[in-house]
Amino acid sequence: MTDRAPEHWDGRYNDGLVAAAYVVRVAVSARDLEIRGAEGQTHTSWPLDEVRFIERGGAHDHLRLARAEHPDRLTITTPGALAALERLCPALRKIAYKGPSWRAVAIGSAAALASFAFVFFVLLPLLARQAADWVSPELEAHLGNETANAIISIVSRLDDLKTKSETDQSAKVKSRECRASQGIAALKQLAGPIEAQLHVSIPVRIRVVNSPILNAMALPGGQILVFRGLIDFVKTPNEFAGVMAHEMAHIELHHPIEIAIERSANAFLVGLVLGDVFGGSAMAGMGQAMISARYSRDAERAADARGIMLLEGASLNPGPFAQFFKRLLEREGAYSDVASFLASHPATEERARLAALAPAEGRTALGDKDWKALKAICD
Amino acid sequence: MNMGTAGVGPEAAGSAWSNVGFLNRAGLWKMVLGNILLTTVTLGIYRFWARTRIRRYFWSNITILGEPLEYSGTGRELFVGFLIVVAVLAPLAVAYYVLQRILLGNPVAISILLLGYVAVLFVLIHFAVYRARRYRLTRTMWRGIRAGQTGSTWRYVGLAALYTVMSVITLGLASPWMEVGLERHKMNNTWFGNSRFRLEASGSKLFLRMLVVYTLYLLPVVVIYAANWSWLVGHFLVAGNVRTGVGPGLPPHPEAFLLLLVMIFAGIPAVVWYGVAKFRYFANSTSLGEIRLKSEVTTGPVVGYLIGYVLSVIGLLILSGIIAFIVAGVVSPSSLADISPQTDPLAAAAAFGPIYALVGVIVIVFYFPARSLLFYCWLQVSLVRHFATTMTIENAGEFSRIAQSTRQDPRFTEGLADAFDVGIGVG
Repeated sequence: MTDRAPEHWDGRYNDGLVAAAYVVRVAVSARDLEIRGAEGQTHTSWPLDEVRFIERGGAHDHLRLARAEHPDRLTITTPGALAALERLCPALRKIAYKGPSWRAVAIGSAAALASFAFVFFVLLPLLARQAADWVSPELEAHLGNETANAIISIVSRLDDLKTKSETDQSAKVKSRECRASQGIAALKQLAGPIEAQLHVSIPVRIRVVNSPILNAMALPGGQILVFRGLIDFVKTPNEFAGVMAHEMAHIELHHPIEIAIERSANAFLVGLVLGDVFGGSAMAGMGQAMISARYSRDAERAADARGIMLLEGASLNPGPFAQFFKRLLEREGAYSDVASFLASHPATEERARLAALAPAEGRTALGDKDWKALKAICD
Repeated sequence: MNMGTAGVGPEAAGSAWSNVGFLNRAGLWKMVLGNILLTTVTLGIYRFWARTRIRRYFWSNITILGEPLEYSGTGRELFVGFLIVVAVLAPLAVAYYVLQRILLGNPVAISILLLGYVAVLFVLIHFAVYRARRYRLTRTMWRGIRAGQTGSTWRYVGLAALYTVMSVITLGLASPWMEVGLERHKMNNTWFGNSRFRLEASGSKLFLRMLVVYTLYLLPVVVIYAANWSWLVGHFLVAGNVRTGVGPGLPPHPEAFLLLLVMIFAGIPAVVWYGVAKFRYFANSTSLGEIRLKSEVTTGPVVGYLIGYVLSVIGLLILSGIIAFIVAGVVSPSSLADISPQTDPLAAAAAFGPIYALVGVIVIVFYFPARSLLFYCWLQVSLVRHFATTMTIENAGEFSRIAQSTRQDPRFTEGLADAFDVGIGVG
């Protein structure tokens, strides 16, 4: 015969039926590994494409092989067999064990995604709405303070970074909250009649933050943060009253506490999935989570409508509020870095129209002198 | 015959003692570093494959009659199990989290919630322990024969609940009976092929040892706490403050350091001494048909490895701090000098921003990998080697009479069950 001589290796064999080891000699044919016993009897033969590598090494550098998805095992003790097997067995390095199919992975992923979608879009909003009624006023007030402090701290840090070259040590130390007494008085005078219309269990507390950001936000516990950028931007007392009425409407509708609960639960869920890779970092507190919070379109629409009702209830002219949205729309894009109000309260044509629908009658919220004091609250 | 290795051929039955071996295969450190890298890059998803690789390594290092154990689980299997668990548990976890946050101010509601939480957690954990053990056993092979576990998981959970109540009532004095009872349920349902393990043990044999641990470890802790009851009260108050986030922090106290020392140098030896004796007792009380196990494992090396590991980790933390300080000094020396307690805390926080980032980088690049290398390549390898090489098997020749079982191995698709693979690595 001119056939090349088959290679022979020594080894031991486990037949997968009993926990015994048989001394064997392994011969390679064109298509199989033939595993023969000491007396030359054939134990079995493995098709070459079903031979799988398990491991090598250990004390004697033995080579362990499996037949795919079978329990029988072959240990080859003759050195140098691996190189030949790499050549002969096309699927040698494939995994020997039958794990779940990719279909199972797909089904599992789909189940997990479906569950997440259910949590995000159904369960959480439902829970948050329910939870808003259960939160004790003390806890909500505490939460509001925590959130407000976190926001003021982060905003100040951002401002400091932007204007790093100009700020000296004294400017850094300067308090971030605007407390000019006449301005505070004017603010109370403006907000009082609107607040009187509200149905809330915790009194509203308005704080002004010395930051160029054009924004105002309602927080849990009846807190409203107004940034200096907004006070600089508004032209008439009633524009400002409109914004305040809008934020108070959010508070009355429990939006801040709802979104705070939703946000923090989201962060918790992310932590759950990522395991311990990032440790507690994903477990952001409610305060941190509020910063990037954005209300849904529906929530904004409800707050707009209720806000205008509040203005009317306080006999304030809501007309300028429509002007406010128009001016915001014109400004969009011009000052991207101060467009925060646009980000959290998108100024759509629809909103401007809605505000314009209200009858433009009623008084002005503040006299000239008080208005000037309010504009100067941060000086 | 030119085979030249021991332990081949159907062994002649005899009462010889055979050693369990440990192979010390090379390349573990590369595997550990690769696992860390891939797990970080994939935001944690790789951890299932990482765990599988580590297990495969340790299984294949332990030899009986020269033949290594084999782990036949796959990472994909664990991943699918995880997906199923996430799908089921995510809504429950989120609901619990929200309720727990919002009911803080209401003591009655929060108590009910916490009780329910503890009960559910207790059931889940014991359920998971039993099912995870089953998963690992069914993925363990030797000489081509699979191990396995039968028995009712719910019965195990019920037993655990009963024993736990008993232990609590007796202030922990009954815990040896709990340990023996649960181990008996596990071992008597453990199989190798078609042969069943049997554990004949009694809690009374462990009781005296447990009393020693009680006095050596628990007593000093209690004394330290009792001698500083004001500090203890402060501890509780702060624990409360941490939950609500209001109120002052606890001032540092020398007793905290003393407590740490007691835990390391009295607690670890006492607990290990007990644990090792328990392992020995269980092994020596276990049989598989005619085959018997015998462990002569000793406490000293185990204590040495564990204390060495704890001290090394503390050293690593200090080293990480030093590295952070040096790097921060090199990168921006001024940022350190600028900050004094008198300045605005906000400004200080802003200045510290880059330092937080730096610490994060050092933790990820240096501390985590170094700690994992210490843990797997030194602690874990040493422990497994010590426990394996002090184990001998009587009548190992009987193994060749044990046949493959016809039990259907549980697949992950059996549901939540096998998905609870909670154990870490080598258990």
